[in-house]
Amino acid sequence: MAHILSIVSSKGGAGKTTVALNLAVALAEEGDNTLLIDVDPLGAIGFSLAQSDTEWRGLAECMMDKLSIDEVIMPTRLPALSLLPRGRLDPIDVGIYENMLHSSTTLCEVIASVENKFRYIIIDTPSGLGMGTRAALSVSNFVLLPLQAESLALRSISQTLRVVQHVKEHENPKLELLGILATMVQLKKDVSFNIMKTVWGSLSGVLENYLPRADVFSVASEKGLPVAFLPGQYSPEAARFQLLVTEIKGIIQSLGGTTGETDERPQRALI
Amino acid sequence: MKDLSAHSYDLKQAQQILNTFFSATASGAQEKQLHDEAPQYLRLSPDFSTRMTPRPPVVPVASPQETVASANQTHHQQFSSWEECIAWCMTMTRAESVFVADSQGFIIASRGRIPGHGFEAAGAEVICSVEQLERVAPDAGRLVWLDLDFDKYRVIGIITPPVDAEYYVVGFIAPDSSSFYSHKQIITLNILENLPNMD
Repeated sequence: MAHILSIVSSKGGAGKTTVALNLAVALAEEGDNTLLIDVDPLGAIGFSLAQSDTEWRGLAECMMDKLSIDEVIMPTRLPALSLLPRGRLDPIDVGIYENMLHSSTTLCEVIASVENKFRYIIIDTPSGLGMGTRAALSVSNFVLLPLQAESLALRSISQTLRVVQHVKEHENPKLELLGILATMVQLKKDVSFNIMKTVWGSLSGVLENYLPRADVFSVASEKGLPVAFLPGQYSPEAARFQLLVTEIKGIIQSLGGTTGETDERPQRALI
Repeated sequence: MKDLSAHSYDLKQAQQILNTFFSATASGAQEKQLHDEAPQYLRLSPDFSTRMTPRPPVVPVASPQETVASANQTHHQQFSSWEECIAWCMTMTRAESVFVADSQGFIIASRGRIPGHGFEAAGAEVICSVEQLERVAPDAGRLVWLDLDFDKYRVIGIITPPVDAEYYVVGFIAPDSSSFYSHKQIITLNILENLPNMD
């Protein structure tokens, strides 16, 4: 059974897609079979990988019964990582898409048909707390909340938490909050530092790892790559995602989930 | 000096919700407090939907494949007059109005929402401007399209290639941007192809 993890934030530009993409890559690089699903009607994962809006078939085609789920799941050059893109959704139909996503059983069926093939399923959700986000939360085991280290994001965190809590209480009792992941942190800047001070001092569930604001993310976005795939020296930001994977796996285990790592080792001889 | 900065980070509710997830830090008292201090959000009742006016039916929009198909169908139009041409142009661009000015600045055809003062002044000014605008970049070739974004609406014009020093400007008033851009090449092609036939 896969661990299904939605990346959710009510505020746009908080780094959801960056987190979803790079976290999925980091999990896959550890050898965990991972599926990254793009539920965002804007198709942000596709854009992050420098694909045009109509390049990939995906969830939208599946929803309209034009293609089967097996036809739209894409392998990547990273053997353990597969993508389920948004599909060639006409931007005019975003409202219909989100309503269908929430009211139809498509996402449930997609998850049910693939969850035995993957250990982790990461769902990138749209900004806001609308139907797309609700649909993703309703099929997830875990939710991770990226929190941009800026005032507006901090002021709106309660909204996101309220919706997560509501979904857990009324729609999906198995939903657990993995935690809050601070993003775009600039501790050398007063505002960002004060936000982080407030977050660390006032909120529980804030992950130890955070993502700094760094040029490497812009470079990766420009090249259409995950940060770990950029040429040159392995960036500290890519390493942060590996640390994030370790932290997240620890939390999943503490919440009663299994990560497939038994930590059993054979006897070895030292000399 | 008093700090006038307003943080307004009301994180009490956020922390109360977090306590429900991270039970190690939650206490019974805190959970009780959460329910006692329900946030002052307005909940929308499903009953309200019966009072809402139904939305007008959605105008079906062609899928990309259909758009391509219709684009192919509209690729080669035949016009025997400017009137026919600008009627088709209006349909393609959803412009408020379309006019044709000759190289003397006279309006030889117009259609759509024509202002009381007509397009005579606009036609004359556009024709005067073409020569001026070509001086902006003398080595950039002939001016083919004008695109003027005013704060109230947009005026776009295609300038046909001169034949015996005679040319035309087909002006579009307030076209729909996406319709215009998606059909710009087809419009150019059809106007240029039909130019010898139109009088």
